[in-house]
This record gives sequence, C-alpha cells and structure tokens, in this order.
Amino acid sequence: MDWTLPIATALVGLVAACAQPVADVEPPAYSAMPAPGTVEPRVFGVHPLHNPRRLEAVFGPLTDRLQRATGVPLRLEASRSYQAFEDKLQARKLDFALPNPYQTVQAEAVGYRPFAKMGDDERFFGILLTRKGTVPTIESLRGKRIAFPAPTALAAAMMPQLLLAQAGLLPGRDYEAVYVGSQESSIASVASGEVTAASTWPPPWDAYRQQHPAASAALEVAFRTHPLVNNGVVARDDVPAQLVQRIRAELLALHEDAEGRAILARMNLSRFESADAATYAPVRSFLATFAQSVRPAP
Amino acid sequence: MSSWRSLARLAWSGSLRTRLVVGVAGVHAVMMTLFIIDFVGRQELFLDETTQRRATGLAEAVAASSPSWVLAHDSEGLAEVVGGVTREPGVVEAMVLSPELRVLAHSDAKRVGAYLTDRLSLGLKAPGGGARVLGVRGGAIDAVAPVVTATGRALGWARVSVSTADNEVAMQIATRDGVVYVGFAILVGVGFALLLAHGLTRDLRRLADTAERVRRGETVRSFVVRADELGRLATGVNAMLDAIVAARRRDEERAVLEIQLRQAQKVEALGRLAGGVAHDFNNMLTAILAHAELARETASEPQIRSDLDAIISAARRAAGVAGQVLAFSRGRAAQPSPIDLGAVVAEVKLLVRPMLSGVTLEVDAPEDRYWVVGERSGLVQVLMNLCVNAIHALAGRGRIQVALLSGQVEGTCASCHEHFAAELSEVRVCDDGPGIPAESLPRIFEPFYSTRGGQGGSGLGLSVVHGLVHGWGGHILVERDGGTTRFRVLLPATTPAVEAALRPSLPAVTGPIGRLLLVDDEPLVGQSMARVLRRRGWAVTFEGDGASALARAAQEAFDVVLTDYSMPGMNGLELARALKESGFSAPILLMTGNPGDVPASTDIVMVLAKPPDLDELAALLAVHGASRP
Repeated sequence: MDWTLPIATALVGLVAACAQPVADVEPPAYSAMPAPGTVEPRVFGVHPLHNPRRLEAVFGPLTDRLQRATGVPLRLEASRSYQAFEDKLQARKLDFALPNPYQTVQAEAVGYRPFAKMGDDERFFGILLTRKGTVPTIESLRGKRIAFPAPTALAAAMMPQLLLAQAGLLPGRDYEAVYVGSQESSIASVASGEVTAASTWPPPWDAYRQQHPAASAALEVAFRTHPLVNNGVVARDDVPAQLVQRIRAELLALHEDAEGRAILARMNLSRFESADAATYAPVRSFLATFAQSVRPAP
Repeated sequence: MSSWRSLARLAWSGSLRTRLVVGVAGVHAVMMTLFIIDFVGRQELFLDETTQRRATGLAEAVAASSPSWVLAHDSEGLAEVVGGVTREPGVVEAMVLSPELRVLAHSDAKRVGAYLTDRLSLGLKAPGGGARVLGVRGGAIDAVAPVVTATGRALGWARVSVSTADNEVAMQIATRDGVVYVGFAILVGVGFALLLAHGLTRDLRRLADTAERVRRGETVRSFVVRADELGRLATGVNAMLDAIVAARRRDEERAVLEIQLRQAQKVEALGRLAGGVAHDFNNMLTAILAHAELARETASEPQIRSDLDAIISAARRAAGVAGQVLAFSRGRAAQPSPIDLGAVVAEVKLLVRPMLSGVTLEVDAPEDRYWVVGERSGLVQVLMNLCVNAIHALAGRGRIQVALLSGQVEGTCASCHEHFAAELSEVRVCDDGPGIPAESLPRIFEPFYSTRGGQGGSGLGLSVVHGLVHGWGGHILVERDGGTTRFRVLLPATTPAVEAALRPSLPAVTGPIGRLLLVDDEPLVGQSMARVLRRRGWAVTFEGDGASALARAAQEAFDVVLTDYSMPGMNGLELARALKESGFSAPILLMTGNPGDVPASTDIVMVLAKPPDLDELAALLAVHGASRP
C-alpha cells in the first residue's frame, strides 16, 4: 500500500479544515407590515427641554413607569428642535406629548387634549443670565445680543421677551435676539461670551450648574419673569380615553411613592397635576399680550 | 493511480541523480503546495475576519451615532448617519432599526418605514445581545450593533452589510500569486536539486570512472577533494586503490620473477646444451684446424694450399660461432676488450641476411676501423636485436640502414635518462617503418614490454640491449623523424693500441723448444695437435687420460703440460692438482671447448679456448714452458 497520496490528501484536508467560514444567511426581507405579533408602541413626545440624550435620562424612567403601569408599550420620543416637535404635533405623529404651555395651546387646534400638567407653576418662569456684574439694569441690555432657545419657547423666550418689552426693549430693534436651538446652547453662549445675556428657565439652569459648576459660577440670574402655567400633558383625540385616564392617574399619583418621587426629582418637579383646556386660559391671554407687545405669536 | 505509481516507480528506479532531483523537487512541490494552500486559506480567513471586524465596527459606529436621532425619531438625522457609513468603501447596505424592526433609516430611502420580517432579523427582537456578525449573504457580510442610550436602554439596531467582493478579488490574486510562487519554488527546487545532484554525482562519477580505469589496469588515483562524506569516501577509495596497485605490482613482480626464472631455466638448459655442443664442436674444429694446418704446411701445390686456407678460415669462423654460442650459454658478459665495430657489423650482416625476406639492408661501414670497448658476442647480440626489431617493424617491406660513425655526441639516454656528452663511437640502426608509438617510447626498454602483442617477441630484446650497452659504459639514443626510427648505440671509443696492450706479447718461435706433455681424451684432437706442435719444435708426449698422464709425469720430466679440461675419469683440473700434489712444478695450461665452465684454480697458469690459434698456442707454450732450466 502506497500511503503517500492518502497522507498528502489528509494534509490538504486538514489545512482546509482550519478555515472557519461564516455561515451563509438569507437576505433581509422587507414588508410594509410588521411581523405577526409585533406591537407598535404608543409614542410619548416631549418638547426639547433638553438634548435627546438628557431628555431620555430624565423622562426615560417616567416612560418606563407609565408603560409598566398601563401594560401598553410606550416609546419616548425626543425632537431635534422646537420646530421639529411642533411639526410632529401638527402632523399628529405623537400619541402623547408634553409640550410647553404655548405648544399645548397650539396642539389643541390639531386634536390634542390636555389631561394633566406639570406642577410647580410658581417655578415656571423665565430668567435672563448674564456674566456677573456686567448688566446692572435691564436697560443695559439695549443694543446687546441676547440668546434664546427658540422663538416658541414660552418660559425661556416669549416670557423674557415680554419682560424686556415691558422695559422698552424690543427684539430686532433694541437688542439682537439670537435663537440657538436649545436651553443648553443658550446658557453656553453667555458663558462663552458670545452674547451678553441668555434666556432660559430654572430646570435647565439648575442642571447646568450641576454639570458645569465652574462655568456657572461666573454667571448670575440678572432678571426673572412672572410665573405662568407649567408644561401640559396632552393626548391625541384618537387615543382611547381609558388609556388616557390610566396615564393621568399614574402621573397624578407619581409623587406618592419613592420611585415616583425619584422620577419627579430628575425633572426638578414636585408633582403632576390634573389639567384641561381651561387650565391654559392664562396662557392664551399671555399670548395675546405677547402678540400685541412683542411680536406675532409663531 | 496505477499510472501515478508507475511514474513514481520509474523516477525512483532511475539514477541517483534522477532520484535526488525527483525527490527534492517532489518534496519541495508538495510542501510548497501545502504551504500555499494553507497560506491562501489563512489569507481568506484573515480577509473574512477583517471584513467581519470592519462590518461590526461600522455597525457600532452607526449605533454610537444614532441614539439621539433614534430618540427623536429623526429620520433626517438618521439618514445622515446612515449616509455617512454608506459612503465607506464596500458598504452595500446600512440601516437603523427600531426594536420592532421597523426601518428608521436606510441607505435605500425607499426602505424607510418598512419592517424586516426574515427569520434572522426577527432574532434581533430577543432582548440582549451585542455587536456581532449575522452571517454572509450574497457576497456581503451582515453585522449588527445595538443602539443603546447611556442608561443602557435599547433603542434599536444598526445593521451594516459590507461586500466581500474585494475579498474575492484579493483571494483570486492571492491564489494566482500562490500558484506562481509554487511554480517558481518548484523551479528553484528543481534547480537546487540539479545543482546538489550534480555536485554529488559528478564526484561519484569521477570515483566510478577511477574504479573503471583501475579495472582496466591503469594506475590512477581519485582526485576528489572534499570535506564531506564523499571526500572521506574518495580517501577510502584511494587507500583501496593503493592497496590494489600494490597487490597488482606484487603480482606483476612475481610474474616477472616467474618469467625470468623460466627464462633463466630455459637459458640455463639451452646453455648447457649449447655448451656441450660447442665443446664437442670445438674439439672437432681443433682436430680439423690441426690437420688442416699440418696438411697446409706439407702441401706443395698452390691450389691445395688455397683450399686448405679456406678450410682453416671456415673452421676459425666456425670456432667464432661456437664461441658466441658459449658466451650465450654462459649468460654473462665476457671481459670487455677492444672490438672492431666494423667486424661486428659484418658478422651481423651475415647473420641477419637470411631473415630479411623483402627488406633491404644497407650497411655503411667506412674504411676506418671503429674500435670500442665491449664484448664481441654481446655487441653482435645488441645489433642483432636492433636489426630483428627493425625487420619485424617493416613487416617484409622497407629498408634498414646500419651505419658506423664517431665523434662528439651529446644527449639524454633513452633508457637510463642520463645526460651525457662525450667522444663516442656509434653504430646506428634506422628503418623506415611505421615508427614506435609515442606513448610506447618511455617503456620500450622495460623488461617484457613488447609492441608486438602476442605476435612473437619476448619483450626482452631492448632490455638486453640496455643492460649490455650500459654495462660497457655506453648509452642509447632513440630518434623518430617522420616515418624513420633511429636507434643510436653509443660506446666509448678506444684505439688499437689499447687492444695491443690487452694482449700478451708473444715471442717468435724458433727452433726446438722443450718437452710438452699433451693430454686429451680425443685421440684425433690430441694426435693432430701433437703433430702440429712437434712441427713447431716441441717434444710432445701425448696421453689419452689423466691417470696415464700422471703416470707419465712421474716417469719423465716435462717443461710444460697442456691438458684438456673435460675428460672422463680425471678432468684437467684434477690432473693439475694431482700433478702439483706430486711435486710437479712445470706450468700447466688448460685447454677446453667451453672456457666458461672452468672454475678458478691456482694449479694452472691459464685457460685456452679450443680451437686455439695454433701459432698463438705455440707462442704461449713458449712463454710458459720453453727453456726451463
């Protein structure tokens, strides 16, 4: 028996066996409909109080709590800007939403109904941040550049602009209004010296002070507005009322347990409150004044 | 399979060189093929792993960039993220999926909003799982990475497909290069094997050639000088060759000795026979000469005297021939003496003439006499050997020239290789035959070397020439000039004065001389000699044997005794010893037909060869025995 050829064949086979190819798989199959058994979650949109990551950190636990309580899949959805959020509302893409008071009023026009709101209305006011000692009077802001998150940001833009208007300073005439897109960007722009003052509201300022203590130490709250009704919680009118009711109940009871309080603490909030369209009548009044004194409402 | 085996068997049963080449090249080819197969396989694996890592890395990059956009359900932002990855080389598909496998963003915008429903994709709905390769499909590798928030919340999946087409091209190139490398390596291996085989087998062939030459009888050695095993083998072969050559030389020497012994035995037997014949022949010649001398002295008619002179001359020549036979039978050179080369040449001419048979013999012997120191019969033998060789070389057609010369000669001896320059006499033997082959020239004087192969000739002729000539202080030159072969025998020249000095001066014999006791067992010889000597003045008493002579000497006084040597009963020497022991004081001369057989003795004054020149005999007797007081 000549073993040469079998041995050579075995060697070749051994070498070939050393290779470990990846298994072949089928190409992905696309379908207009989800696979059977797939449940699309309800979408809970929050207006851009924070950037999406922070928003998820703050409102993610709340979403989980609501999902767990209702048994209905719920997906938190952020938005890149106020405009994007408002577009979603206008397109009715959101099942539930947490718009600011102005957006709450605007959403009612496209079929959203307020059923709850964030409490602590006394803390819903706007503030103007400046570098310490640089702006002694509100008049000192004449001719300066002032940062705002967005034209539709009620507490962080519209309410301060009304304050300035009441002091005789109108955007575009007496100061340059710079819309930077978010609360954090507004604060950062004054910290960097790009603008003389930045408009925001307390929750983002508190968060910035925690995250950037050194930079925030150089800033001060130079002016503040009067408080108004806090952000609302709305549901699209085609969402089952039972689900809306269960959500509202869970929100209103949130401050009653430790987990709920921890969730509220992330929002720098003490509780949620019940609300309806009448709750936002002061807002509609403010908007009318704003439109009359400052500029047309967006 | 059987043809493969046959081919392998054929290659393996070839020469050592073929085996080396086939073996090294075959092993080289197999090993290189295995190496390339392994290399290509590893290369393929490496490329696959690289592509997998790249696909996984791109999926992770998409996943890392997506959380905010997924949170915001921002299709534009996700499209930017996916578009950035899609622009990477080799990316065929990229997408971001919701946990429900809804396409949030896709490199093909038409896919946005659709759902993935294949079984592999549905596996992504299971909780957990990190970045990984899903598999290969359609020449692309699929990899996924989870889109998660900083808090670990799963937001969906990023999925990227990277083409393996570049891998396949790279593998084709690697395979092609591998085949080229294998071919090149095999060529290099074959070249190396050829060089190796050549280096080994070249010297092996040299060793084999050396062994073959030794087998043919040549005395050679291997000149393979190496530091490896082959060098040691060559050293061993040389040692073996030395042993073989030594053994062969011993065998040759033994063979030569055996031949010489047989030759000596033959010569001895022939010598004894020749000696006996010559002895009897000389006795008869002695009687013939004596009677012829007596008859000539008494003959009155001129014609009779002339006839008797012819008889005497022929008898003396016959005596000379008998003397040569005796010299040959003795096997040793006689005492050198001045020899007339012309006489030798003349004698050889007579001896050779019957052998010529179509060959012309020309002798150029000037009137001048060329005297050399030698021995007549030896010189005859030298010239005879040279002439006989020439006759054989001419093979019945051609010319032999024998010439005598004298003068200053300078050259290198062809047999002893000594350089010499001297005044020499020369006898030259030339023939116009085919000549001696150049390669044979250095060996023609070796004993038993013959160019005639098995066609006669003992191979001793020129060896004898060498021995005799050099025994007389001479040399030999051998010259080749075109078709002419020239043997020049050069001998020290002498003069007749030397010859005279060598011979005793004989007194002239006049009148009665003395009393001579002549003893010979041949009555015819003794009586004839007695008559001749009486006519020359001697009072001769003849006795036929030793005892009678001894008795006669006791009774009478003699001046000299001349006795034959070979006699029945008491030989000549015994008679001389007995006479001396009896107080006999007269000189005793011994006479014999074979002087070589006579041992030395102080009882006699000299030995005379039969047949003696009667005049010289008379004179010698007069010198030794005449007028004793």
